[in-house]
Amino acid sequence: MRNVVAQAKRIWQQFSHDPRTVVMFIIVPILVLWLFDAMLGTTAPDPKLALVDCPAPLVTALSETADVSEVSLSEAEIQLANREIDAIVTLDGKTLVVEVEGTNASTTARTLAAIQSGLKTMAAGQQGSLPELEVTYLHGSSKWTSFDYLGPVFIGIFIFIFVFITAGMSLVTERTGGTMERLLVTPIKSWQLVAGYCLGFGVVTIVQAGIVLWATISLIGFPNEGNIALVILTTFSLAMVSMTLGLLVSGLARTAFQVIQLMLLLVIPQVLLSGIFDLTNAPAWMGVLSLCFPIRHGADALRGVMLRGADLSQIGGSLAILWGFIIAFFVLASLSFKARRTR
Amino acid sequence: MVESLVQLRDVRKSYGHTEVIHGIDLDVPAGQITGLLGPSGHGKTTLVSLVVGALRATSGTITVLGEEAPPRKVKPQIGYMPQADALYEDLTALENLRYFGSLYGMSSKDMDPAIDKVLDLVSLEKERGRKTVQAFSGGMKRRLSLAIALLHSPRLLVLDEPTVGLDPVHRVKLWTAFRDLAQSGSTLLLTTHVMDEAANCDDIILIHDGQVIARGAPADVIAQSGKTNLEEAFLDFEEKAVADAPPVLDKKKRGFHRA
Repeated sequence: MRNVVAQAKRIWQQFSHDPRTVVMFIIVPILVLWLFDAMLGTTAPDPKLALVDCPAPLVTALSETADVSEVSLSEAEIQLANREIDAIVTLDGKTLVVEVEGTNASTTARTLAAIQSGLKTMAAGQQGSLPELEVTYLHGSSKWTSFDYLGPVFIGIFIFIFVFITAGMSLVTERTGGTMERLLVTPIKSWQLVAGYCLGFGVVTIVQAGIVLWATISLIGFPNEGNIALVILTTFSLAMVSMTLGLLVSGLARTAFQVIQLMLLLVIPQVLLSGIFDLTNAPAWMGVLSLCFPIRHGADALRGVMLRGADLSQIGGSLAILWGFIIAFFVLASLSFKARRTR
Repeated sequence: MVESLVQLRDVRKSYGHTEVIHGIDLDVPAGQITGLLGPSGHGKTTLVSLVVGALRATSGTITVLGEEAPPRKVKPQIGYMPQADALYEDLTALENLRYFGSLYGMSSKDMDPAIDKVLDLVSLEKERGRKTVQAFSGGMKRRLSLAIALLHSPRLLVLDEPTVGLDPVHRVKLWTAFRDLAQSGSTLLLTTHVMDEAANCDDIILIHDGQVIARGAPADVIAQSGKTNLEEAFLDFEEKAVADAPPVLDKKKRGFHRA
C-alpha cells in the first residue's frame, strides 16, 4: 500500500509543478462538451424548397412541412447550385418532379420525407389521385449514403491530425534530445529551419495524400466528381496549414504531453465545426467561429471538388484562405524560434 | 601579448529574478586550451552557452572572434559540443555528420575528407554508416558529438564536458587531439569538473557560484594557493570564496566529482 501511495503522491507532485496541464485537464473537456451541446442541442432545420409553377393547394400543403418559396425555374436552379435551397419542386402534368441537391444523403431523405408528408396532407383534403414523385439529383445519386457526404471532411480531418502530431512532436524531440541547442548555434536561420521542415514533411505529405486519396476513391469507393489533382492540392494545402500550426505549437510546448494537450485545444473544436455536423440551426456565432478555422475551409473545398465537381475558380477562395493560414503560421513559427534564440 | 578570441566583460546572466553569473571578466587566448573548472551547477555551461550564442547575457559584453555576441557572422567559425549528446539517433553517424556539415555550408567535396578525418580522430571510422546512432554506446555517442563539432575545422572550439562517459583510452586520445588542434592554431574553450584533465589546459578559470575565484596556468593556480595539486588548490579557493561570500551562499551546492 505504501508503494501505491508513494506512486500516487509522485503523480500529484508532478501535476503541482505543471499548472498548464491542470488547467488544460479542466478546460478542454468543458470546452468540447459545451461545443457539442451548442451544436447538437438543436433540431434539424426544415428543408428549403423552391416551388416552380406549382398549384396553390400544393404550395399550401408543402409549406406546412417545409420552408418554401415560389420562384422562377432559372432562379431556383441558381439557388440550388449555391446550396441556398435543398430541392426544386415542379409539377409536370401528373408527375411531381423534385430535383434535390443530392450531396448529403440525410438532407435528401429529410427533404423527400417532407414532400411526401405534404402530399399526404393535400390528398386528405381533396379527391383524386396523388401526383407521382420523380426524383432527380443535381449531384450524386440515390446510391450516395450519409458517409459519402462526410468522406471528404474525414479525409481532411485525418490528414490534419496526422500531420499536426508529426510536426508538433518534431521540435519537442529536437529540444528534449538536445539537437535544438546544437542547431541554434549553427548558421541556420530560424525561417530556414521552419522552411526545411515544411519542405521535408511537405513532400512526404504529397505522397501520403496521393496514396490515401487513391485508396479511398478507388478501393473504398469514396465519390469523386472532380479533378483528382485539385483534391490532392486541397489536401496538401490543408496538410501544410496543419504542419505550420504544429511547428508553431511545437515551439511553444516543452514536452510531448503538452503538444497533445494543445492539439486537443486547437484541433478538436476545429473538427467539431469542420462540417461533420449541420450548423444550420446552431447559434450564429458558431458558424462565424467555424469560418475562423482552417479545417472548415479545407473540408468545404474538398466537398466542393469531390461531391460537386468544383473547379479551381470555385474553390479558389477556400484555397486562398488556407494559404493565408500557412503564411501566418509560418511567420509566427519562425518568430517564435527567433525569440527562443534571444532568450 | 596573445590575441584573445573570446572576451567577456562584466557579464551577468539572470533567469527570472535569480542571477546565476555575477559579473564575470574572461579572456580566451588564441591557440590555447582554456578550461572552465568548477562544481556542477555553478555556471560553467551557462558561460559557454553565452559564448556560443545559445543564451543571451542579461548585461555586460561578450566578444567572440571580433564580433559582439550574439555571434552571427562568425558562427561558421565556431564549433560547439553541448553537454547533451545532441545527435539524431535515428540517423547513422555519417548522416548526422553530413547534415551538420551542410548547415555549416560545407560542399560534398570538402565534407568527405573532413568526415574521414574526424571519424578517425574519434575512432568511429568503422561505425560511419553501418548502424543508427541509437545502437551506439554512451561513449560512442559522445565521440560522434565531438566529431560533429570538429567537422568544419572551426577556429574556436567550445566543448562542454567533452570527456564525460569516455573510457581512459579514448580520453587520453582526445586530449592528445585537443593539444594537436591547439598547436595547429585552433582555440579551445572547454568545461570540466575533472581535476586530472584540467591540468592539461594551458589556462584554467576556476568558477564558483557564477564567479571567477582563480585563474592562470595550472601550475600558477597551484602556486597561488600554496597547495601541492590542483584538487587541493581548488578546494582552498572554494573555501575562501564561501567564507568571503554572504551567508546565503553557504546553502549552495559544493564539491565536485573526481574522474
